[in-house]
Amino acid sequence: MAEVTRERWTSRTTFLFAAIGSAIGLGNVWRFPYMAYDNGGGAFLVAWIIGLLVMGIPWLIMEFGLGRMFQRGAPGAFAGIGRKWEWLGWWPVFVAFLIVAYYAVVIAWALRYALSAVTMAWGTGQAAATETAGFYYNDILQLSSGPTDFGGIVWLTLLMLAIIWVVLFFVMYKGAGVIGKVAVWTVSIPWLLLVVLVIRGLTLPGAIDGLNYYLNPDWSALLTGKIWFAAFSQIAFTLSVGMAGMYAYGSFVAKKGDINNNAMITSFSNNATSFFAGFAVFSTVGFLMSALSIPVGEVSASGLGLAFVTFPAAISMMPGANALIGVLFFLCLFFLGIDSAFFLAHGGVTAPLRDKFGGSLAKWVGIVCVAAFGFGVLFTTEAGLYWLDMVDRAVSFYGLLITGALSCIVVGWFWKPKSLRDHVNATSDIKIGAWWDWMIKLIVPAGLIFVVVYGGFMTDIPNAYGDYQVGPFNGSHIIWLILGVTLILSFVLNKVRTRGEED
Amino acid sequence: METGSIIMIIVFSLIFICGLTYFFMQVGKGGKWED
Repeated sequence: MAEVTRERWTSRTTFLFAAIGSAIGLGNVWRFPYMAYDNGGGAFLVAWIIGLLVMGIPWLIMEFGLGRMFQRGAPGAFAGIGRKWEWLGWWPVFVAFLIVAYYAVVIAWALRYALSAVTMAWGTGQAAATETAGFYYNDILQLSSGPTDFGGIVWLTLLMLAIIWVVLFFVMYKGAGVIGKVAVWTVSIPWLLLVVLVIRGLTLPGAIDGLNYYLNPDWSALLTGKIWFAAFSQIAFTLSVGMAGMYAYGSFVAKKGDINNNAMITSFSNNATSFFAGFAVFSTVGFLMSALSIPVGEVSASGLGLAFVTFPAAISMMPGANALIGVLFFLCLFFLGIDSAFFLAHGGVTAPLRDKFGGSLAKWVGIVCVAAFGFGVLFTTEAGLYWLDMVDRAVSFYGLLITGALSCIVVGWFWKPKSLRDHVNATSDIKIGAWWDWMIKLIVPAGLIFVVVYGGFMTDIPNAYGDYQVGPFNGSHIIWLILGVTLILSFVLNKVRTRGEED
Repeated sequence: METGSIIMIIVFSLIFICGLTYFFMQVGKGGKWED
């Protein structure tokens, strides 16, 4: 059978931009700053940097390294370790597929908000503070009463979603060469927009109070388990590891290309972006607190609530250029999200499928785009937010953490981490020592298991997740069902013959 | 602004600036794949 030509990055710069773009996403803006505020401010930053050094960077080196070593995406890399482990590469492929299916819908909402900002459709002035939640839930989501009350499709969101998938197709169908060139722009533009937003935020009244909430350290927090859970979970979620894509991105690196230094540059750039984005978020939150004379606890400062309720309210109350700031903020979210989306769709899903079954890149990109768009329609219904929340919990929390921990355990204990270390050291600017083996054997899996048990099983097993009921199933049941089905499908794919493989 | 916040801004800005500067200074010392 003819060998499928491996895609390659056209330069180290384009690879770095693509990797940084995949790591930097919406979570840098709407998750990290709140985690810092909620976990001891500056003290959290200390735990977060330690988490980056002992967990994030070693894990990223492992994913880049395995991809480059075996010249395959996640399933092919684990098949290279041992054919029986291929399923462990497929499980995160399903994670990536489900994440990108709903992530693209969130980007579609951001696009709708960017258009709405032109006319400040969510309200103007101080009155907007009470109107933005209604705009989000009633106008944008048209939210129904529960997950089985699908209502109808929100057509404008579906249209935006279709546009996004068309854009993603044209970015991805020629492979890594074009993705890297596009990533140069999709990383640079949101950074410039963040600079504008930080300057705007810092010049608002009350901004300094907001920054004190974000940064003033409470050192006693370092003695609690909560801060270490928050720091390790933030590191696990922020680098886009555990989603299959980094194996493929590593596999597109030239055979004599660097791995270790690129992983370090990617990680530090990502975390620097989070740190910087915190200034935009908390200066604006401080302004809102000041303008409304409310404590920070009454401001939704994370997640969808921050992006689609709090920020629009703050933008409406700014002294000038409201529409412009609104458009820039939501375009910033769009660009932050779009390169993470083509990372998930291409590195996470398309590359592994093509490795397994062969065929043209354009064909697989088309199949993945249509399938993810089709699945994403679920999240454009009036019950979409409920399903998004459950699927997000299943794959972005449990799926990512469990597959990440198992991957490190297999590499560390059932294979030879030293051979991977020798492989990456042979061509890397910075050599890693035997300490890395022990990070992969012990620290990374222990950190991930700690997060999944402390932040997941301890709450979702005794209690139902959320307030959802789907027939006889509650939210936790749905989560276990998604994990179980994707795990079974991973084993099925493990059994399927790979192209060119002997019977 | 609180003193603790100012110290955090200085320390973490230095960590990221110095860290990234160091990494970029290492570029080309091992890998053969450069622009």
